Amino acid sequence: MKYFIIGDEDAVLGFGMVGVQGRTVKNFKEAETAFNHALENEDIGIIIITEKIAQLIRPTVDRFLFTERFPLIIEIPDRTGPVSGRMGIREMANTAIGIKL
Amino acid sequence: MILAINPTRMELLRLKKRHVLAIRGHKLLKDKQDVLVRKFLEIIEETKKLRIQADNEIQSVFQSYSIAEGVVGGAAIESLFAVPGAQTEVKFKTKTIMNLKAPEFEVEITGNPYNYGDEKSSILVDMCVKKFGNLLNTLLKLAELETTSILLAEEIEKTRRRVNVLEYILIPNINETIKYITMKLSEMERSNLTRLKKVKAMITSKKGGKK
Repeated sequence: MKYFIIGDEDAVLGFGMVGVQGRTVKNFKEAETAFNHALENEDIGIIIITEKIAQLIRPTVDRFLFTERFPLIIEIPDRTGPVSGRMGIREMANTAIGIKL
Repeated sequence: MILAINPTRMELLRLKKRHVLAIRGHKLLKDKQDVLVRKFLEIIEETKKLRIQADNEIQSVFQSYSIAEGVVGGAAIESLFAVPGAQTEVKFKTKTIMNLKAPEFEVEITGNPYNYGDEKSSILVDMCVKKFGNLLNTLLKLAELETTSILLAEEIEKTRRRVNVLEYILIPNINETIKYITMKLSEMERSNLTRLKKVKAMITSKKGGKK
């Protein structure tokens, strides 16, 4: 199984150094196609996506995150730093599944 | 609500068995829920810590990447890594938490990531490659934990629904039905008794009349 990185040039190139394939994405449409492409490929086990890109296709990512087990999706901040107001995993679980702990 | 069941002795016996079973199931599920919640909280804490660590790591990785890019030049870096020397593979396993299959991964970098020419490169690039390799491990662990916590949350929700159904619907219903059937049966008993008495009275009065 493989990693796949969707992000800006720096992220893709950086992870490319250690042999992670990826796709450079600049706008909504590219993000959508890249994401779908990554999902279709069964060899890809983990999708690394930068936050800015994930924001562009937020509904798709979230829907996927909570319905499918596989592949895993992990969001990372890009080189400009973390996006403010990011939801923690606990809030995510709360809003998605509606449980309070 | 009374279950749609005929008020017979057979059904009463069956219901009593169901009642015992339901109570046992309820207890078990409740225990399961408690364990799940505890596990969930543990994992959430761990995830939080790891998230912060990963964020810091990412920052430092991009920092050293920026420096390397500044020294060597973006286009040069791109040409160095045009043919990646390393292959990153992920091995997938599952571990079980309370009958729940959680993913577990192992990262495997095969090949030599440092297979680029020396003269265009710099030690900064080497450091950068090393950091990215480490980062992959951290991210993997993070993905594992986040997915596990989502799975756990779903499972908790499911278990909670089951516990609630048992506690507030099924067990009260069974209790009510048991009560209903017992009443019905004793009512039948009583009416039977009075009928027998009546019959007896009629027979004795008939006999007495003949004599």
